[in-house]
Amino acid sequence: MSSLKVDNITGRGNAGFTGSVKSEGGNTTTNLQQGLCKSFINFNGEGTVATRDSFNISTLNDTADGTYQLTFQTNMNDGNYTTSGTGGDTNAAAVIVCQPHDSEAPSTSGYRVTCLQAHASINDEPYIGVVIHGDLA
Amino acid sequence: MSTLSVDTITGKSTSTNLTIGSTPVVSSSANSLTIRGEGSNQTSIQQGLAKCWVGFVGTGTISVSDSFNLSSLNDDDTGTYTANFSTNMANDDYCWSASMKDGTTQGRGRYSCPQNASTYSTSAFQMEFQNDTTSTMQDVDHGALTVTGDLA
Repeated sequence: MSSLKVDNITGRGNAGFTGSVKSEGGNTTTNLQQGLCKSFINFNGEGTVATRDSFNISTLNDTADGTYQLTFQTNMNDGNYTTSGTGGDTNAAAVIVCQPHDSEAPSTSGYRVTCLQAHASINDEPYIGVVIHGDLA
Repeated sequence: MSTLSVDTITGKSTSTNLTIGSTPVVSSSANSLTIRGEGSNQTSIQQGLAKCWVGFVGTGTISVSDSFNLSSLNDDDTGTYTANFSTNMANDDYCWSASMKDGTTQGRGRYSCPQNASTYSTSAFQMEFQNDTTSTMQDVDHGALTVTGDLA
């Protein structure tokens, strides 16, 4: 067995480290950076909003009923990233839709989400999760 | 401090480990890399990666804002779209999630779901977006979806 001991490993080009990893099937490779989630958050949106856990989120603000503004720690490259969200209520029968805010497009520094109950109105929800994929700045 | 500058690092076998200090941070086996997580457990790099994501405008002549591993997006019908992968998935058991917004009026909820199970394939899947109020299909101003699962 051979071992190599260093402090840093860097790529030689200006692009820095770019990685690809073998696929599960072994027939191709997939891009490491493009596949990584760039931000996630799990928060309580009722009462005084509180973040349970997050990655690359600097602030969470309650802007209106069922509407929250999230700000990244490290900006995205553009506003074309994807947001996947879900919401939960203490009422087991409630169906919650969590979606990008209707009138505010995602920006490089953050995005606004809205939660509403099916066939009902916009409501604060206790369990909200959002995941971001896309290009980091 | 020492810096190693190289183009390619290749393990001698399928069980190469990358260790920092005394902690193995990346371990490999055939077609699988595992990395130490935030705690003490290991997690799969491949399984944790999104295999496809798409941001798109689904009204009028649809357009893709940004994407990864998407060859094309088809506008099949009102609120119904087909996403075609650049590189196929290994099977049709993958998972996808989506969100969407429509117009500038708050509270207009939309659901997204697979069109039906038969539309899942290794190369593509069909999805539909439904208006919460009218329970009818409706195009979305901004759609976003993410796919996780096994790549071919």
